[in-house]
Amino acid sequence: MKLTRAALICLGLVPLGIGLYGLWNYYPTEMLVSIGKWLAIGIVLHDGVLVPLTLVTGALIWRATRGLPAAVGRIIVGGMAVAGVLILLAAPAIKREGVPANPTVLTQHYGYNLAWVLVAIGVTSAILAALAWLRGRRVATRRDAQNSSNVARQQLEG
Amino acid sequence: MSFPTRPVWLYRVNQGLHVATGIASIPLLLAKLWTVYPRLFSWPIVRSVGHSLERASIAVFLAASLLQLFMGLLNTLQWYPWPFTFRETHFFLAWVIIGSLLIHIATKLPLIAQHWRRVRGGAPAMASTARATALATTSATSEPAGGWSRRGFFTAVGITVAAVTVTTVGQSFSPLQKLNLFAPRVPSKGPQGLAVNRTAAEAGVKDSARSLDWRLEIAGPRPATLSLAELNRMPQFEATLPISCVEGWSQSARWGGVRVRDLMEHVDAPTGSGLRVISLEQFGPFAQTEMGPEFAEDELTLLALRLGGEVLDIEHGYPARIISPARPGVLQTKWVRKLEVAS
Repeated sequence: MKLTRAALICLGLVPLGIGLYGLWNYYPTEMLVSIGKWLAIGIVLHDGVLVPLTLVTGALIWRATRGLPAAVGRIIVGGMAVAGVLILLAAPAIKREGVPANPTVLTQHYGYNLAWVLVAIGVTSAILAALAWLRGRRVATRRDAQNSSNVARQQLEG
Repeated sequence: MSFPTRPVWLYRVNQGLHVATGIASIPLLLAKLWTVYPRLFSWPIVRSVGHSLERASIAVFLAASLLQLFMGLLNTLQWYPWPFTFRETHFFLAWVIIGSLLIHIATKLPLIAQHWRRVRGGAPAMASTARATALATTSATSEPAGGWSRRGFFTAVGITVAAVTVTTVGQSFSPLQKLNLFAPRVPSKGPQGLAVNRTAAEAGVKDSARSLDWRLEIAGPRPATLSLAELNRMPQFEATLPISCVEGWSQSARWGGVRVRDLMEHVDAPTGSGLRVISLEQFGPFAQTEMGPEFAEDELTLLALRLGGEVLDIEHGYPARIISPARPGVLQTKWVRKLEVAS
């Protein structure tokens, strides 16, 4: 295991070195600083904004769906995850629509498309959540029925 | 270096896959990072030299991956707000990502091995429960509230990957064209039913390309100058070849014109010669391109004068452009002014 790990680390250092040396060799210092700055911006935006936002949203949904079958919360959170990633994907296109001088770039109405997709995700999640809720209730009823018949049997036996 | 010229859609698949996997990686990366986010706050920050190296390699991997995907996505929208060049940065960052990922796998190897050994050991259900408990106790917050099962989590990630792929891949994979909702291109939207990467205005050729004085110069052992009428009198050929852009979109089209190898024969170029193609473009890194002999001699490589049976639109390179099989769109030089035989 130790040997494999050491070999894998050495194997990784080669491409890492190629990449870092390539950047260092190709760019003057101020460009390297700029790349470094953008690398840091990515981490800060991701770790400092995006993930905390998803965690808070997730926690709020779990809170709101407390007492309902667990599947309902999961479906809502899953639907929001799909919607969130599609928003991230479409956001630059929406922001940039109409800007490029080339009329064949960004030819679609991205905001409009996104709105429809979000509606579709909302409706699908709502239907699935409703089904999960109904199923959860049926299971609960059956369990209740079973429990009460058990209780009745125990009372009889007792 | 010689490149393959068949199948003609080789670069189309290559670049379509490149951009599609990049887009699919967005939810994959976010999901991966999301599951390990609580470890960001693990304490102490650094336990040992090894641990500090591990964390450093993760920081490199994370930062490089985020920038790589973000700059790739924005570049496909022709939105490039960075002072550094795209091509070199994207290329070298890819090496950095491969390296840091290998190192990351190396540092996690004991954990990975332990997991698979347990599963093979015969009691997978128990093992995974034990593992889940272990994970929950080492980092209580790493289990999302409400508790996603492993299968549920992978299902959600899979659906997200499918959603971003299906709504964008139509720009290169024609059968899914109708579901293309978020890709920057609809390849059939453009003059003569084909999108354009660089317009005549951007290339600064609006006047020079329409000039009646346009002549094709061919430099070789017996140099020649040909007018558009003379080119049209030469044997004409048709080829159905895709335009495949480095930005991911692609579409097949029917081109008509003169075979490049006939033009080379016209100036007595020795066999095995390559070609330098010079455009009317005044600026841009692809105003002049090199074509290896494998493409120059290919029977499908044309100096195209027509697209879909019509005279080329100026946006597609009027009066004459290069079209060849299995090559990136940026090398299909438009508004050709001169061909130079190069040995």
